[in-house]
Amino acid sequence: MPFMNEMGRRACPAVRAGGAIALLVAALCACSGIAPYVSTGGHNFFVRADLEPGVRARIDVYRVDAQCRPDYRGSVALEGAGAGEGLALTDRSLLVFSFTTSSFWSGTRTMKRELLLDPRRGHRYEARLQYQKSIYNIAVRERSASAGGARELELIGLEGCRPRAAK
Amino acid sequence: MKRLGTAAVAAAALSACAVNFPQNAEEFRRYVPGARFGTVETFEVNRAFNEVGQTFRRKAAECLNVTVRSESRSQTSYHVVTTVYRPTVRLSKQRAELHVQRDHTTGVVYPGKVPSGGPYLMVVDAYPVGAARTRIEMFRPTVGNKALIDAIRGWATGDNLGCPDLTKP
Repeated sequence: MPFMNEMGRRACPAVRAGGAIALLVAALCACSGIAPYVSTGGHNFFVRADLEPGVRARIDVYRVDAQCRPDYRGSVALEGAGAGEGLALTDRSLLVFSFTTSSFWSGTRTMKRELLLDPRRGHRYEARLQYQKSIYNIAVRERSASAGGARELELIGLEGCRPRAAK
Repeated sequence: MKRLGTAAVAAAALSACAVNFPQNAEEFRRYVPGARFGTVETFEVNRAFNEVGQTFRRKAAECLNVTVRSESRSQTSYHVVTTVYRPTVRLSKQRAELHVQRDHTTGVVYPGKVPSGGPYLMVVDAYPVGAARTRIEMFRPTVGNKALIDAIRGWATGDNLGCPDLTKP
């Protein structure tokens, strides 16, 4: 079952308090455990986001081992309309897509959806993330480089993982 | 001991204002028109009835089978509520039904008997009125849940097939 997280904290009023506090917040974020995802090799996963102002999207990438244990590899942040990124995914991976919105009254809320992806050789993956007026859309297509056909992937997370026999 | 006493007083207070939760979709349909914060919204869409039903089935499975975890914290308190949404879609030749139940599995005490799967949040019915026209009846709350209501409207009309951000109040 996909999992969504909602945090009812107030939307960073400290940031408005002054530059010094903003710097402190930035320093804390740097220690929050969120690392940029580093692609090694050619990109095979391409993501494009179409987000209304104030909405931040992020993809957390986990490598999933034979026993279905996720290992965090890094994150990709996307913001604004037309934000795009290319990633190299070679191993079975768990992609956690999240949309974060903030307001003074309702605080910061983050909604997450997962996709367990087993990249196939000779295929490319195209993801489109949209968020407008509290409605979101995550569409991920697998496209064969040779045949050209495409199919839409269902958003199935780690609950769909099947352990594999050790090689 | 003091906590137990407080809990007993709270339980007694809650039982004094016990709520009769509708136990199934039919009871919910009868309950909503007279509810203070409920309404029945009816509209028609230019889409075939079968198409609307299939969209309900596909999108409910994709978008509403989710768990939301809410955290709120202040200097003196920390509160976590886990909410499980459970959609049910029933299709027949006469009617397509989408039921949405919302179950707060932690952090909330219900003052009454809750149906299996959680209290009903919304029931949406679709009826055929022509080859390419369908009537929608939404039994829904009037407060909050805008994203869910808008999303289901979009599924009915076919204009927007996105999922609601259920973290929104």
